[in-house]
Amino acid sequence: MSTQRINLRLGSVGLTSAMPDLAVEVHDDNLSLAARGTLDKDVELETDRDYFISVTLPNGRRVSTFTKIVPGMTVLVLPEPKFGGSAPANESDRKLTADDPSVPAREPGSVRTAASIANKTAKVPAGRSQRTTKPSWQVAGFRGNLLAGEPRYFELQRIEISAPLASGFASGAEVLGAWSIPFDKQPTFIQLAQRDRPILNYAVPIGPGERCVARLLRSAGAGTVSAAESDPLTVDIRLENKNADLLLRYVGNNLVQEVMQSAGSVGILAQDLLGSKFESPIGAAVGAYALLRFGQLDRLHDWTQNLYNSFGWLPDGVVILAEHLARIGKHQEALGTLIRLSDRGLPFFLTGLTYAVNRLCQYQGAVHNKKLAGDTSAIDKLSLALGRYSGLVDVTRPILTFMGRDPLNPSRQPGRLPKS
Amino acid sequence: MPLVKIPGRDVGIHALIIGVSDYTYLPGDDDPVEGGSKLGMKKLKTPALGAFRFLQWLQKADAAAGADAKVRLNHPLASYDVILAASPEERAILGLSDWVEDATTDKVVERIREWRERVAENPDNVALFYFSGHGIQRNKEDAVLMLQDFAQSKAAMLEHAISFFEIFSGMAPSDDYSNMGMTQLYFVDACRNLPEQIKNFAKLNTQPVFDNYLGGRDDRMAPVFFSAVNDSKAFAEVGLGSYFNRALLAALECGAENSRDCSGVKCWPLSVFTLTTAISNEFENFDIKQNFVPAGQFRDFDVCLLAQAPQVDMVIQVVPENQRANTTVEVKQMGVHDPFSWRQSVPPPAHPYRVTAPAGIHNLIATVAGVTLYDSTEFINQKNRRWPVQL
Repeated sequence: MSTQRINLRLGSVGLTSAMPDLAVEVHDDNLSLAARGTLDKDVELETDRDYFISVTLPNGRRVSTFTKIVPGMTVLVLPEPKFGGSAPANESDRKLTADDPSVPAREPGSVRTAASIANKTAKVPAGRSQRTTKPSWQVAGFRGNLLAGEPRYFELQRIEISAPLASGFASGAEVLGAWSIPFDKQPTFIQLAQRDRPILNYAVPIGPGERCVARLLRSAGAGTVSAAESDPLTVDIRLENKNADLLLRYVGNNLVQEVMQSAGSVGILAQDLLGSKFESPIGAAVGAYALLRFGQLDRLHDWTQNLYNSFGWLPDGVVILAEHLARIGKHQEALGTLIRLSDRGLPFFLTGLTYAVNRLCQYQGAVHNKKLAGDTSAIDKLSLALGRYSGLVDVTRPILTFMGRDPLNPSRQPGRLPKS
Repeated sequence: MPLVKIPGRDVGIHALIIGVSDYTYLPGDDDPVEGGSKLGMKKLKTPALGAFRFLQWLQKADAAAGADAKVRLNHPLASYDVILAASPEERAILGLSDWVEDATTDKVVERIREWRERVAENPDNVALFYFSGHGIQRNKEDAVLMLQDFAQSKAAMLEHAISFFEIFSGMAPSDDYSNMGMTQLYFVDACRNLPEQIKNFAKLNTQPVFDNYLGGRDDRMAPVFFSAVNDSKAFAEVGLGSYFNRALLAALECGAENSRDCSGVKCWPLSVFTLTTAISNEFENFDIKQNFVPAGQFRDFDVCLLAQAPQVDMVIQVVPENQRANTTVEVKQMGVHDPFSWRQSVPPPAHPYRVTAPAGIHNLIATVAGVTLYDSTEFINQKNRRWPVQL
């Protein structure tokens, strides 16, 4: 028996290089698992044996091939995903065709761009339904540490959605608008108001030198093929770090095996640990949350401390270090770290808010009972501030999304839009 | 019924199953909704049934059932403690009333503490926690679990409720609990949104379960499956149970993805990760705006072993549509003595075609007037169950 190292590619070389490090699974002809990994790493397989090789796309859809590994074979090209922009027969089948990881598909050819729908000149982007002059949605941007003071609104920079994504990866959703958002030392948010629906505020995780793309999408309601004007809108945040973006989409689709595989991907964790340098602090934060989720404490080394020290603008650095300390039993240090979250603001990621709220709740009692030492008023103040948000978040989205027109006073109250 | 300890099994699964339908101080179905400390809640009709069905699955899958069992737990069942506060309809279900117990806060807290002591006797123990009843999602990983005497007190809204996170964090190992079972599994079917009248949960105190326990190094395998909804309450159908319970029980029967050798016999392991996929698939079938979120320390381990390849709900989509009508699709399993086969009926069934087939290698042929337009072989399992056929 001999083995062969195989480099896996998806479709053309160009497509492969544009892709994040998708999760790979290999089964042998006995239906047993033969290997797991990501597209950036070779897999080692026995020669003269049949294998099923599958790659998981961000939305859970799979691309697979059945092949015999022969001696000398070093590269295996998997087919491009089929059914690039076609629509499923119904909502429950959306994973067949909805290539955008976050969005159900709609009728072929129904994709519309921002230019065809919204008013480009409006400082506060808004959209109108076809039958009425009243705006049906409005998008705004604001920045600030919501735990310490008032946010300030800023003008969003609209972009055209130009070149379509590679076959099989194009969005099947109706795109109503897109905005490019640059880094700022203050946490950044996008606010979406829709008529008769709660106003949603989306954190925008960006690092220095990066830009996030926020797209306003309309997805079809349950049981329907195409989106109607009454269907809810969502904002999809696309991170610049493609592997961090992939990991979040796997998380959002409950693809835990794929999260586990991708968390070990070079693209996510390729940080210079010894030099305390991070190519992508946002990517490192996403990877760290995954490792905490899977309880892989030994893999976190001291880079939670480095992440905290190096990036004073990153709220999640505080939570990640505090949670790491708590998991290794250093609760006093964890509390001392966590309390500094009020200096940085709301975490970008839902897991961060959750960890912070639960640990603070745990430590409040411990301080009261003298098991831990701490400033009770500061702990109570932070706990109250975070508690305002934690019950009004979308628990299915990994990027923090909370409800409320006033970012300082979250609420489920439906939004009001300007009359014209 | 008091705690059931299985003789001769010192190490294994220690289950605590709680299902609360009959809330003493909440109005019934026909009574008007009350606000205030009752938060608009009413008595329920399905949580005790769901918990009872979970118990039945556990008993059936107990490792002692033998190697020929269809589903076999990966660890033996060592003890189970069941507390059901059942509705009158649920009490009429055969066997359920045996498990009806006082599910008031003090009693439940006492039983949780006893359960922790059992789990903490050996690191190889497995803690299994199942709760179904009223609950409010505090955040992604915490819910306030309302117990039978919820709303008894008008002064302290959550005096008769407990925090799930407190239970979860209280099960961490520490110097005091150095032999804590390091494999734990939680199911919480209780979530609904924060009522508008509670602006901030941080101000409201639940009944303490463990006394400000902090824990030591915590590298448990401790996944939590939370039912979750956004902007609505958890759904259930009377007589059938909650969607989460139904999805879970169905997933536990079929949620394996590949085979492996289990002591010389081929088996299909169902792990925490494969269960996650299976529950997602089941929720998709319901076609409702409800789902679940994986939380806790979500590490993978085998929950149970299936003796045979699980059934998979394949979805076959043929395009283009104008050619589909004239096309005949056939599926045949490969590499087994008694292969599964399916041939599209005439007239064709609803499209996409839904075919329930055993996981394995399948060949699909699409023909038009005897001419083969598509011929492909795929490994079909719960993750790879959608078969796009491009003619």
